[in-house]
Amino acid sequence: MTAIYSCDTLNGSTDPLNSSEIIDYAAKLPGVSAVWLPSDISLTDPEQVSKKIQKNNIKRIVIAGNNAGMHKSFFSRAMVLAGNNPGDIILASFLEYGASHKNEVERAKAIVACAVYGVPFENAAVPEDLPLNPATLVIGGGIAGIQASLEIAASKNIVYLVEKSATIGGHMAMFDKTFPTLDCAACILTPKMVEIGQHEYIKLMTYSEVQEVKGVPGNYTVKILKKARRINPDTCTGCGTCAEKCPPKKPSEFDANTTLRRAAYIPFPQAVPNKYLIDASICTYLINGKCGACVKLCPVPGCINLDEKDEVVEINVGNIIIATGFKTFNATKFGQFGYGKYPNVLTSIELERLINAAGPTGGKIAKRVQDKKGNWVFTHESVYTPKSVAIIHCIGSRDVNYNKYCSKVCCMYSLKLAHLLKEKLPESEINEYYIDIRAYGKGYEEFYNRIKKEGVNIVRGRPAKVEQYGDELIVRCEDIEGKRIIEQKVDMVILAVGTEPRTDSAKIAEMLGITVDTYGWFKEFNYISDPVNTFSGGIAIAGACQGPKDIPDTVAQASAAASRVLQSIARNKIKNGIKSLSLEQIETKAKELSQILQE
Amino acid sequence: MSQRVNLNLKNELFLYGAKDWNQCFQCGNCTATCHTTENGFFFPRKTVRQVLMGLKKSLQINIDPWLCTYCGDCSKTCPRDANPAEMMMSIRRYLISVYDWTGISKLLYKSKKLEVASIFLLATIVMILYLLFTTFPSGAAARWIGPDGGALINKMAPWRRIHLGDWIMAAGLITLIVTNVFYMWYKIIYEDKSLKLGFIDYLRPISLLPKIFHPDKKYAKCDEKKLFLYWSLHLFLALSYALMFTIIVFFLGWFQTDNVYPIYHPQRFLGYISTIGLFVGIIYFYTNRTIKNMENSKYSHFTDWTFLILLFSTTLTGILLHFFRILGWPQLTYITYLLHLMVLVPMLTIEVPFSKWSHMIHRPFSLYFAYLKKLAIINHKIILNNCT
Amino acid sequence: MEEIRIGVYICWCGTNIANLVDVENVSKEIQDLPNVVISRDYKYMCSDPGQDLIVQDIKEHNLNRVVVAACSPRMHEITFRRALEKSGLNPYLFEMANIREHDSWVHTNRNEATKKATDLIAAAVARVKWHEPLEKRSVDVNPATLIIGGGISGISAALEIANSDKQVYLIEKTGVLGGLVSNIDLTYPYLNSAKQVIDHKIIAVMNHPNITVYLNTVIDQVHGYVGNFETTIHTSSKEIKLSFGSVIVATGLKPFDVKKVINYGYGKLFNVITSIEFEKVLKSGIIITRDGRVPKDIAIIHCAGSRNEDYNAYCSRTCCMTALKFINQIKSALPETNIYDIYSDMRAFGKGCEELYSITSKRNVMFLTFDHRVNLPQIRQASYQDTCNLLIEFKEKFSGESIEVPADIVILMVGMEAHDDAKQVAHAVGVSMDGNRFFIERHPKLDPVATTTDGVYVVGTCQSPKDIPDSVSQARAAAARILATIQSGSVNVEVTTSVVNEKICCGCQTCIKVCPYTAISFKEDEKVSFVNEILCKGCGTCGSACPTGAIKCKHFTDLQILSEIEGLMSLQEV
Repeated sequence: MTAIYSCDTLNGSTDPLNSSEIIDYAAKLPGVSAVWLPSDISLTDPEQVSKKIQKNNIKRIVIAGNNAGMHKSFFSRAMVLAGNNPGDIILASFLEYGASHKNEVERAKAIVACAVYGVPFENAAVPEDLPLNPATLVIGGGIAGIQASLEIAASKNIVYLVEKSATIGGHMAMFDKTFPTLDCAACILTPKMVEIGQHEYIKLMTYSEVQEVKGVPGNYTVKILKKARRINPDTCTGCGTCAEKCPPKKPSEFDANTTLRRAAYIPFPQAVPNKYLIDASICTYLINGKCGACVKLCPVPGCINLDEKDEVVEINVGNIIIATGFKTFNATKFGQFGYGKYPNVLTSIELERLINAAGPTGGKIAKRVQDKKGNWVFTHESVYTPKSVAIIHCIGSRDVNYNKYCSKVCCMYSLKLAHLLKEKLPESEINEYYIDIRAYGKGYEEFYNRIKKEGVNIVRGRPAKVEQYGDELIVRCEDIEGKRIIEQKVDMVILAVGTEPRTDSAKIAEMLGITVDTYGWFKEFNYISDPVNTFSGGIAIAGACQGPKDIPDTVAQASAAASRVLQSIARNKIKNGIKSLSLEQIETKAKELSQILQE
Repeated sequence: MSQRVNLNLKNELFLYGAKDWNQCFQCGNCTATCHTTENGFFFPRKTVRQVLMGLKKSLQINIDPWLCTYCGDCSKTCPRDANPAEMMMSIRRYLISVYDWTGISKLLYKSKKLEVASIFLLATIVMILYLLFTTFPSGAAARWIGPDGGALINKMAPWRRIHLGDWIMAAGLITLIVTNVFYMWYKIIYEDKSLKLGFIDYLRPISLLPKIFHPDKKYAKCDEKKLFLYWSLHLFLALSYALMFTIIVFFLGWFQTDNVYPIYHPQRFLGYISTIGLFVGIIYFYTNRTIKNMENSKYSHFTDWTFLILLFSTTLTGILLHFFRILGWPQLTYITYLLHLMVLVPMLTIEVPFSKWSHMIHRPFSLYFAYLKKLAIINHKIILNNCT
Repeated sequence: MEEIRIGVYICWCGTNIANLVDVENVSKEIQDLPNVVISRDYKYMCSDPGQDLIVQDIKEHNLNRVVVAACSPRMHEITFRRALEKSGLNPYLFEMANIREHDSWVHTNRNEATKKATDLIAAAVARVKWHEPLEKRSVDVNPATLIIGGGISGISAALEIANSDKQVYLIEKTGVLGGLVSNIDLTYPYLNSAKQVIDHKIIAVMNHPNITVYLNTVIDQVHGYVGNFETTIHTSSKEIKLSFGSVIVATGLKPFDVKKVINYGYGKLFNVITSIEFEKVLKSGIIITRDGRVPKDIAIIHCAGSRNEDYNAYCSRTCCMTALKFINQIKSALPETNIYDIYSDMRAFGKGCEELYSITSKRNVMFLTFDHRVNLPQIRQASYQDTCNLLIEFKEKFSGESIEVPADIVILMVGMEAHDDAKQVAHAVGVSMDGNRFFIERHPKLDPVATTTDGVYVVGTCQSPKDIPDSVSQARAAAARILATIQSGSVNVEVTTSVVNEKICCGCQTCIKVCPYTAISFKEDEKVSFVNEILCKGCGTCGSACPTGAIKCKHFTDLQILSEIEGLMSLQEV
């Protein structure tokens, strides 16, 4: 005799599941003799429940709800008091298989059904095989996309790598060094980027966007918008003559807006492909019909065609890996710290560029200075090196007013930045302000200790304000462990901004028919046992688009996603998505399996 | 000696109107935002910590909550919505009950019923006394009606008798206040052996006497800009209150007269000014607490309301009394006078020693004590480890 | 012999090298060395244009030797060899001078660093003269895979590969599959049942047609090379010979032995238990003290044996969240219990973890902080008249007060540490270990599952503490590599092997004794040693041991090495 306890949802979504509907369904399942609602049971009194259990002679309890686990221990206690085996409690946790939205009520029912039959959901919900097109589409050319592509291409199968911007490399390419080993990001990433560019099985499509995805797992038809580069990549030698006369106008995305780039540009010297292109949005010729200097200057005849139009290409693939990554938190939202107001309050990503040899100051740590026009800019000439710097953790993370979640990487990269600053400015005083230091990975704790030994002043306490007096910034904070209130005068403040889902993540999810969580991160099939798959068979997720991640985890996950693809290639068929299964199918399968179990 | 932690203190504090602070993860944001904090005074964070850890001893000798000007910046920017500002207020209520050695205020704060009951009890006692010692102006007493047809108040409720009552009450209240303050001093300054203060040190803070009746100017730096109006009105209210209080308790004979003076006479315009002060103030704070437009009026403990209501009804009855007297409606005057006393007396006897009113005493004194502590730091260069 | 034409390329590596090495001058000086046809410097040699530079020069100046002075060859040797190949030159006619790790990163004086760089490059130039073209060889891959360790990582990897219709041998030291996960009641952060996660996987593995499971089994030395390994395994009953193409090491970690921490009195105070023991308590469904009472106060102490130089310096990554999970479970079983959580830094970093932290803190728990480095909390028996069984004394960091915490049960969140036999395993499969006895991956960031031994992968906690999702991801990552290798059918093997010049060999068989890869055998009839070039890893031990100099290690010939040394000295006299 099974009893079902339907618990209230602890962390629901905007429009949660209709639990009453699920309960009605569950009540009709075979062997279910009782359905308990939170109203029927006082979760402080296991004796009362154990009596219920004995009265209705309950042998198994299924706890169904968004966070079933929250109540398990209560019921196992009740079971023991009633003289039953606490092992006979089965959790039907809707969140475990990503059912939290009202549209997912069918799946929720299926989860309950499987629990009642005592069959693992994964075993019951087995979609049929579909024929496979061995080609794969990877969306996003960051380290995750790169890794996944290389893994798959190693098996001598075609991979289409689609990247929105003009080069692959993503955020990692912007970093100077990587924690905790401090090897320079360019040194370890560029070989891989080069490999992508040279690989015979990887079809690289930069400056392109996925527009539309049609079809079923194993056979998707994908429309890709190839934005006009206006410089023919096949003939361009990357000499850069076109850029010489082109006026710098637009903040460079690669330099985190610390420098200006031209209309005819190349994102950075090691870009892959290492070819110039023209940004229509700021090209003088395209705006007011005059100029066209680049065309005259270009040594390769016919290489530049300013009137080139975007084109849409169509490809067929069997698998899709999403590796669209993240965006950094917009620090201007955090008014207290005066980012955008005070010239020398920077975000961590800006500092990465500042430290970088190829950055706005050629690797020199210098304060912003006013140019002739009066704008605050970084220059190679600037001589104002900061005497003291403050690094503030958890900007936009772990904060109910912004993002509730922890961005996972900020602690470590802040420590890394502190080290790099100390290295370049041994005289200067570096202060770190944190809530908890989250140095969790391999060698991270050791790195943290090393930074402390290097004389970085690491303070526990969250500053509330940054104020500017003259060209001095004042950070006010309580040094909790030092039992004092600090009003630190610094020349530069670094905001360790957290990570956020990309603005278009919802759009992509909608286009590919996968789900996002309350923040907008892509939802995986099962966080514990299947962190890369999604509910639509042929689509896997990799890297920071699933949630904040550091490079090692991203790479590992990217490879994991690749293994899914390789598996299907090896079998030459692919499983359809769980979504394709109807409730009846799952239920009947569960019934069969449970009978097999009984025999 | 190490203190034993205790999870129940915070549950006890919920009775004093606190919100849920379990959320606090001690980031120190609140202390950093606050402009009144300084070395040795790490509130709200450290105070919150004491409550969460249930360190009764440390909390009871903690003055910091009294230094808070309740600008609410900390609550606004708190990354965990833990409401440090409201907690400061709740702890104030708690501390009031701690300073009150009789333990009555503890009871009143903890139970709404008891508070209301005691108010009505006092009111009835007053009524009985009034009916015993005064006479209704009718029949034989008709001649007490003045030439202008208004009641001759001193005939029906002779000011000497009322005054006698006043004095008895005042004596009681003052004893309570003094003893409470003494108890406060004993707990906070005397028992803290780390503080070495000479007699002369006690006299030094005289300079800040005028300031201590008004919140520290530092609040001007807070983000909450409405505070200036707020505290000005608060000051106005407090002064009017004090004025009216002195008039009634010490100069009733001069105030409660049967002949109606012209408007410019001090007796009248002083009365009017303080009445206006009270009235405007009450209305302002009442609306604030109802529309909750400021951080510091978002959460109200029932004692906040009772104080406002009692004060309001006292003022109202006072005004009515005055006008009925002038309009010459003896019966109404008589009844209003009774009503006036029936709210006035509970208002004073409950609020002054045992409830919200007492912050008028406790805050200045804690500022004074805080100053003494600072002196102690400067004098003896002692590090205030275990005392905030 | 054709004329030697050397091209030298010096990399700035942004400012990594250029800061301390006067690159332009160095390249001028090198220009004058014999046989150097061209000497250039460039900002990033590893970048596309950098490599194109080499390719073009080889064509224009028909170079037949190339020297690149840049970072460590471990980083980019492959990259530049590929560049040579592209221009039709044998990739082994190339030498790399490491002027970053060996020079600019370890020096502070610009002049000296510059001088050293020049010497290193001169050495490389002298050496590269004698380089000979070597031919790449590839071998076929045995599609079977050996997985050592039947924990969640091993199981996931096994299923991943087996579901691709490839053979898997799964070896487990103990009698059951499941590893540490099977001890666990619920998983964080979503509090799903671990049982429901692991059980059906175990069943699936047991019944899978492509998986052969060996319980109570240990392995011998693994012989062979990528694609073609073989070993003998010892089950309880018999010995079996296995041959396979790849190895996945998923031996995991074991809980820290908390007896070492005297302050906690584990073992003496019998209501002080470890988190692992408490998982069992939770599974049993009834939370009681060892003396059978329902606990009124439960204290949890984090970082037991972690983040402390005296025990393990590293963070065990999972304990904080496990503790939060415990709190929720205790609260749901015994809502009245007081819980005291004594932590140092709350490491709730994963997806959904910070959320769990804030849910937990709503549940009327007391969070206290201690210093995980010095004066750890002291646990002692409470007196009889006291309300509790144990007392924990320590200085609370956030309040600065020294406090005592009552407790009937104290749960120590024990960290993870390497198995005692980690060394044997490491030696058996030929992976290296770091100071914490964790297995070392090939690259901590970009190659987190492969090892320096091709075809051998380390996944899950055996390479550092991890939670379940991360272990599963890694397991699959390894699976991906293996599947790809199997797909492509063949792999390239080491070419810088050693060969015996049978004319000179005196048959003393010294080489056979010293060879760590048992690659050398003895030809009885001819009385000479013989090198199996597939097994040979080119370590060079035999070459240095050979008394007659009969053994020549390709790419590390005496001539090459001696002339390298000469080159190193050559500029000294000047």
